[in-house]
Amino acid sequence: MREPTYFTLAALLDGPLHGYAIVKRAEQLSEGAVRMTAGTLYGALERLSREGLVAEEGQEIVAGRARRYYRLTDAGRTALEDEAGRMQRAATVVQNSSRTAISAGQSRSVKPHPGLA
Amino acid sequence: MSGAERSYRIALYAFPKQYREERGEEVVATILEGGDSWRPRLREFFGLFWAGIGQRALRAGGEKAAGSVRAGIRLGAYFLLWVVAAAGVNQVLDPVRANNGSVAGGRYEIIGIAVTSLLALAALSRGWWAAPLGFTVAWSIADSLFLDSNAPHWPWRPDSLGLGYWMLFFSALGFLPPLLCVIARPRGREPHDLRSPLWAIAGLALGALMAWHTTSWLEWQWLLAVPPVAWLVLGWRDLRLAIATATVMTFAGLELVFYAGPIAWDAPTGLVGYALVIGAAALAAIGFGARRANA
Repeated sequence: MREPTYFTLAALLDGPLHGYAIVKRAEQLSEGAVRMTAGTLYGALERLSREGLVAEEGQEIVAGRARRYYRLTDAGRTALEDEAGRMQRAATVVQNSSRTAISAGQSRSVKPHPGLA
Repeated sequence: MSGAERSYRIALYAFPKQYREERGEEVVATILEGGDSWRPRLREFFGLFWAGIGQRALRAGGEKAAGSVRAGIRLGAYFLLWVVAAAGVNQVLDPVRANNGSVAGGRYEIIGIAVTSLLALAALSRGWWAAPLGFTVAWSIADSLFLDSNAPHWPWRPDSLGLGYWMLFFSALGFLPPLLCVIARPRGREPHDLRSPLWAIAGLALGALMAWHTTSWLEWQWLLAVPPVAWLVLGWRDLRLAIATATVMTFAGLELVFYAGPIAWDAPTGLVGYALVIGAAALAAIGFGARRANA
């Protein structure tokens, strides 16, 4: 799952949102790392709708412009949780390896060098 | 309507008509909600444009935009096979003229083209879709290395019979895509399917007809305008056709660069060839851009 897709789904966790709100929420959740253009957003929404991960939740007219709301489906929530779990496991592998390397380095550094003994 | 909004609405034309009608207003509203300004934000404009191309590719190729690119390359392989087959038919009909008076060279040509075509068709029958491209390239290289003096059948070589074959080549590009559209048109909700054997049969038959008519097309220089029009119109309708055309053009352009060399710059056909290579590269970029847009 690509980053914009992941954060599009994550943005809908708290309830239905319209296009612009999804963009802003995704930006906020990713701490500014994901700044989607409308093209990217609607490309992702189209694909997610087709896959049944996102569904439309009515629309309203604001200042003469159409505003459609989107919500996360059960399948979408499961897919998002699966992806989050996968990333967490992948991150754990790297973090554990880093800790092992650091502790190994520390234990080596306290040993006196044979040449200096 | 501000200048920015007008620009975004222009970029919306990259989307298929149905999508534009359903979502166009909503997409523009989403962009403008972020702050209307007197000039368009380039990032939004190009993002919209690439997303539109991506939508077209998705609708043509199924689940993934990359599917359209692959399908286009397959089509390009078919086109190449047909061009070679058309040249082969010309060898059979008039081997002396086609080989500048050398009958012996013509025999090798016929054998080579026949073997290449049979191999390519056999590969296609087994579902190896990219094989015709590989066989055709291999044959072309072998031909140029070992039969060079007797084998000027490639239309883009300066020492070939030249313009007539150029016309054949360009005409094929102009006429084949609509024919393919007719043959490949899905029925009802049936997905696009490129695997019909009719494609190969129809292409070979048309190629033979064109080879037979080659000399009478010598004066039809206006046909040089056909490929760009085919790219724009047919490619807009179905991205696969543009990529298929680009595949053939890239191959033609590479032939020109590798075998004709700087001489090609002196010939009008050479200039056209180089221009086509640039066009092909641009189209390939559109294809991959569409893939990227499928976020």
